Amino acid sequence: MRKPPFDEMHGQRGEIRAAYREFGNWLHSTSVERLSERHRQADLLFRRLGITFTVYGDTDGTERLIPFDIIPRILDALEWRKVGGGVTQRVRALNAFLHDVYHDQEILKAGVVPADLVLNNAAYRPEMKGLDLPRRIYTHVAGIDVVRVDAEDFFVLEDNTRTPSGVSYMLENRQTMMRLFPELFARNRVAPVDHYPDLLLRTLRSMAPAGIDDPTVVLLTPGHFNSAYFEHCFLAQEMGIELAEGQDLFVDDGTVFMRTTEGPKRVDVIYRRIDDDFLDPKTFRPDSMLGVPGLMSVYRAGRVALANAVGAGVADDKAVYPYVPDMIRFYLSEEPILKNVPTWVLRKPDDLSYVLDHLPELVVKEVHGSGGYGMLIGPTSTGAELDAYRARILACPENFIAQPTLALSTCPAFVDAGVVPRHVDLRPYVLSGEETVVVPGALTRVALREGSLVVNSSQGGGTKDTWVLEE
Amino acid sequence: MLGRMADNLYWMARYVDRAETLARLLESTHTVSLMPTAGAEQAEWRALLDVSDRDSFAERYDRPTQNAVISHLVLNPANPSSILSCFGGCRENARATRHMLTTELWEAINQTWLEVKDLTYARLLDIGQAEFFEWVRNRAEQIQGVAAGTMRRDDGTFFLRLGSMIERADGTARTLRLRRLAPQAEVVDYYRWGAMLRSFSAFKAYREIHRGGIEPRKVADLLIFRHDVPRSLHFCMDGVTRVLDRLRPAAACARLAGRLHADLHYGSLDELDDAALDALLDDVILRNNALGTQIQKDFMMIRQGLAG
Repeated sequence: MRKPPFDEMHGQRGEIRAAYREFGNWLHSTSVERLSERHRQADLLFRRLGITFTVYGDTDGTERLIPFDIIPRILDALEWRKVGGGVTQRVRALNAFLHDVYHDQEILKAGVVPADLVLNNAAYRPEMKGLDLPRRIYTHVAGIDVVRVDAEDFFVLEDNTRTPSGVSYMLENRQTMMRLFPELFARNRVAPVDHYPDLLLRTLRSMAPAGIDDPTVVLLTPGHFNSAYFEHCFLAQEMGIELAEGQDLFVDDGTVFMRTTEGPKRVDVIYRRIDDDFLDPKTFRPDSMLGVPGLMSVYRAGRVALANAVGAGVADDKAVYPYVPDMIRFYLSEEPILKNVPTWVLRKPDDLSYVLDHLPELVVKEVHGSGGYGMLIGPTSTGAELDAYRARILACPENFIAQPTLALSTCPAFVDAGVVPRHVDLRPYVLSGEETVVVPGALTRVALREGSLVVNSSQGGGTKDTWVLEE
Repeated sequence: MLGRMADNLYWMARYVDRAETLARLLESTHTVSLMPTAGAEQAEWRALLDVSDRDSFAERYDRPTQNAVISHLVLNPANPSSILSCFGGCRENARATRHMLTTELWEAINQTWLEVKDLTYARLLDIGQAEFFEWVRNRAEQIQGVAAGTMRRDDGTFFLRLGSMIERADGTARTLRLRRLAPQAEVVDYYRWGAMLRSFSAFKAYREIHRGGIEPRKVADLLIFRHDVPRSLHFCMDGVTRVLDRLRPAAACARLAGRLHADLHYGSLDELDDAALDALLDDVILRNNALGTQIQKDFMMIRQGLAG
């Protein structure tokens, strides 16, 4: 039998860990009725504010509320130094990698990352070769998924370098907690996160084409049927920029314009929340109704900036993930602060045979999958499910990677049964502009179903406020 | 601001006002139908179908009974102008522009929708018709009040104002036209026009301006030509022209609005016999409609080129 997972509030012997001490006292002296009441108020608040997401394929209405858990996830300053430093380091390396693979490809020549893995990757965009981007930044906004297994070790589970979402929950969760539990903030020195939109805007403005002093920035959304539409609205409002759909923008005379009530207005920087494939029907998918025809030609001419850059996805592909620690050593000459989860790459015959032999113990993921879809969690799967997945792997081994089933850390959560431990992960958001920075906070996702390890909101996960305590 | 956003705000305001007008109409009809002398109360309800979508009514209901008409006007999702559809449309447009709305305004709209979206006819009867119509009016007033009280006076509020005034003018003209169609016995008439004045919140105004009894022509005068009655056609066009003067005085829609406004500003009931009065209402409905279309062309056309 495996030992119980590490709980972030209660240490191995049931003592309250330092970061949770003040909170623990408060929790101890607070009745379940009061927690219940606050929980209900939080729910009401989120519903009234309309903080919702959309579940694809859900027929009974397009919007749902992400469950919010009122128990905060708390990290002390020391823990944060490690996580914050680690993800910042990682994103610096990922940006260097992206610049390299679209220019001299030193890392491929050196054999550190297999060339075919990058060059034959669907997320690799030959259109980007030789294009010089401002400050050599490709992933301006990155979300790095981090998990924890004990008091010391944090592992990076996944990098998100395309259009990571969820930051609005980090901000709204904090707002909600401050409103519901002001007394907790009086007793704990919680580092603020509200300046994120300001930092984001500064990052975006710093990407403007040369010679533009006061750039016009817009957020490009697929529209209100998109699952993250709430977040797009939220960020546009917080930054005071226009929220544009593809149909609001057009290209004329080598310039991107938006259609305003006062006629066309030039656009300099686009924070796009649309996938590469849909950005420009003239370059990518011709059937895309979401994009802006001709956008890529303006981009290539350096007359508009896109964040994140086209082709940034090749850095977060699960097939590339196992090589990120080597990238850090290669580009930064530093040792990685955060570890990778040990990963078997099924394109390697040895790894494949090991994984097939140990399938019931492992987590297997599709290299291009995301959102928790199409993944196998060995220990909770039936024999039939394992057999079906085995057949899928054998049909195309290079499409898969496998990892050990981590005993993800738990954190107390308030559910119907009371305060109980539930598995959590952590997604800090890293911004890269003039410098690479991370606000002291993150989105904590929590698997609210008992025993579940899947934290994705599309799979029954919830969120909680994440506190970084100041020293 | 983006033309598409202006369009969303414009429609958001139109839907709110449409729901309010409908609730006012239902309120006054409800009052009249309670009259002992009426006898023809089914006719009162049936007449309301003239201001709504008849096709979606026929698809769903057999006969225009009171229940069917109310259900159609309040709850039928296939009726694009039902109160449910109006609040739904308002909320959809608000959702598309919520980054431009104050939190208070978004919450007022969202809360309204959450409260009404699962309403059934049985529940409506539980609440009581009069109660419910009043609730709709209150919510619409709240949304408009919160918009006025919290939104910065930038272009966004101009488009809200335009939507509101265009929709209100349409509602007033159509209601007036509807009420003029079926004259009843004098005593019933008194109550009908009285109820209508009340539904326009204009009963008091009428009493202050006119001594004597309630005369249909004087009611028409009040709701067409008075500049100081907030639901009159003249008042609405005052609002539209004032906004367009600020937005873009040279726009084609500003000329249409100016001409319509002049007719209401300088027109007089004394020049009009009953037939001419009806013709004027029909004309206002058409021109107001064309004005709305032109506003969209001038400011919101999503597919405009560089020439604008």
